[in-house]
Amino acid sequence: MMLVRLLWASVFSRKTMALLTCFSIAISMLVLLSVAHIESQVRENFERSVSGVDLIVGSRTSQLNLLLFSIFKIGYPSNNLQWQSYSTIKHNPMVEWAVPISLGDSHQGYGVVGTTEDYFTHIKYANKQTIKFAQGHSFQHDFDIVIGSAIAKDLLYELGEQIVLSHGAGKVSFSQHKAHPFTVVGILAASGTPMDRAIYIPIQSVDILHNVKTSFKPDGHDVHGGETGNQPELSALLLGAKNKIAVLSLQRELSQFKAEPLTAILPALALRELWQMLSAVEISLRVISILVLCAALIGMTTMLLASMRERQQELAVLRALGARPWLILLLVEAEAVLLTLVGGVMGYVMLCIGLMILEPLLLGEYAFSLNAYSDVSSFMLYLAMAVLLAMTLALVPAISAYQKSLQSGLSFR
Amino acid sequence: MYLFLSVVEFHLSNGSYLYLMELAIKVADLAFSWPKNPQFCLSIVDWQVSCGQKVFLYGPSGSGKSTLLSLLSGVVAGYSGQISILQQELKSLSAAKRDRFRAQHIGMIFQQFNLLPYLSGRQNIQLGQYFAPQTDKHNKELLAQLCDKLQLSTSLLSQSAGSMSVGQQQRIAVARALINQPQLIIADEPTSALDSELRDQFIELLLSTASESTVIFVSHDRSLASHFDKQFDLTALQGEVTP
Repeated sequence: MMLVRLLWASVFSRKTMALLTCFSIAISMLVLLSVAHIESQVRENFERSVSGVDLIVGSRTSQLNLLLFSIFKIGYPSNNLQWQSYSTIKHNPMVEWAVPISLGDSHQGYGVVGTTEDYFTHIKYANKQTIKFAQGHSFQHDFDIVIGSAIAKDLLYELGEQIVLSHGAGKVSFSQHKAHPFTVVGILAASGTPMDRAIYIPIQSVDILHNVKTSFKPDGHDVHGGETGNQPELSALLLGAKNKIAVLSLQRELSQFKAEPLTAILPALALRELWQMLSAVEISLRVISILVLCAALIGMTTMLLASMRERQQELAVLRALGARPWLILLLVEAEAVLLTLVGGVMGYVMLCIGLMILEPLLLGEYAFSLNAYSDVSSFMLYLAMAVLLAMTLALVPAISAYQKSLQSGLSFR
Repeated sequence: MYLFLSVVEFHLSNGSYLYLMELAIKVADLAFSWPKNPQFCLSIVDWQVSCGQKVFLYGPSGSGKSTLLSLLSGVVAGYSGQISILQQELKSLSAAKRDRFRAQHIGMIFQQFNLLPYLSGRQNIQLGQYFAPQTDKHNKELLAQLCDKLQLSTSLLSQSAGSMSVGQQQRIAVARALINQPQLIIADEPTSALDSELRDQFIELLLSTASESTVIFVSHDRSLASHFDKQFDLTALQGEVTP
């Protein structure tokens, strides 16, 4: 008890230095924890975005490109699929359901997805959760529109709102489909996936939009889905297989599709490829964060070493009172452990507060759901690692103090 | 050498002889030099201090004063010859036992910076008790007596040592040195930071409080010698020890 009080009072008497050291450890811990946390959150966000889809089919492209544009709305399809292929695949005996999607339009920077009503019944997210409507319902007419929760929140759209879509993905587009305003009939519940930031329209309307655009007529309103000669083109197909074991053979079959060259991917495998690609980035981020921690701990060692000079008298007094030399060593080590623990916990608290502030921002802006840091066990592991490293580094000042206390007698010079 | 030591031990085990010979300090054929500074060598052929004596040791700077005190207190070892403190040959003790012996039997007072500035006066005194395992740590009566003698008020005791005047600090240091009722007090220039008036007061206070202990008072100021029973000159004590 006496020793704890002694240690505490001694550290407190050098509080400015101690606090700065704690802060540098806290910041390095913050970097270390947030890199690990954000990494796991990115994974979780990506993985929760696609569920219940057995295969994604697109025109021949790389598996990553197909995954990224079809699910995450990152990048663009290089080629379109024929409507005919959709019909053929839909009737394949191994296919339970097929949902077409058509991308390319936008509204105020938010991507527009042309699809069928099936989308809302078959596509799932997170742990096979079905898509829920916060308000309204799925499309019933050609110019009905369903919007994600983030869009409703950001643009303050309500049911019944009239919306004009534009061609291309930019926020400012010069070719707006003004002839065809859409009506909001449904708003999706928040899911923390890219769906929150998507606008869904019936797939036949995409075709109408573009037909109007290419062959503009002043009375374009009259053009309707009845114009069967022009089938809409598709960006990708999302498939559910009847038999999950047959997914691979279905994939093989689709890759050898005769009508046009296709790529069929398993979302989980494609995601794994994505992680493999990103692992180099992850590893370098981790290495950097560990190096930052090392730098902070070396800074602490330097501080301890420098403080030994002003503490010589203190240590001489302790020795004169009968303290053993190893107690001197222990005091220095304990100080290192104390500072690291305090710094580590400070970093943890900083992360928790930071996440609390960032969470609503990220969810609103990027539909990126950031959970509170809950991985206490890995925090403990990092903390233990830091303490171990601190103890090792603190051996330098500790042993030097120990040797001085043995060799220099009471003068401690 | 072995024979000599065993003879002494034999005498010591004999009670009546012990009383006659009771020495607080016995140094014989001592030779010591620091491992880092082999040129300087402290060597004392023979020096004895009886129990209860109040001794003034004149030691100008560079005379090996702090070296001698480090040896007497058992903070360093590795000497040749004999150093017996309270009939205990220090060399025969392990390092851990020497440290415990010091905590138990020797009270030390330094020139300055005696106290840990961040602890209160009381905590500094308690720290003195902490390292001495066999003392009664809850001897509040003794503490009260000491504080009374040394004019240490309760408010002063709860003040942090860093905020005290040098005189106050030195009085706390005396209380800490005496709290374990040590048989030997070693004071290393405890008055050099005090002005002349306080100096005499302090010495009288120290000697009266520590009346039952042996006191070794080291200073470079010969004018203080008059307070003491006996005086030695460290430079004169030193002589060639033939190995």
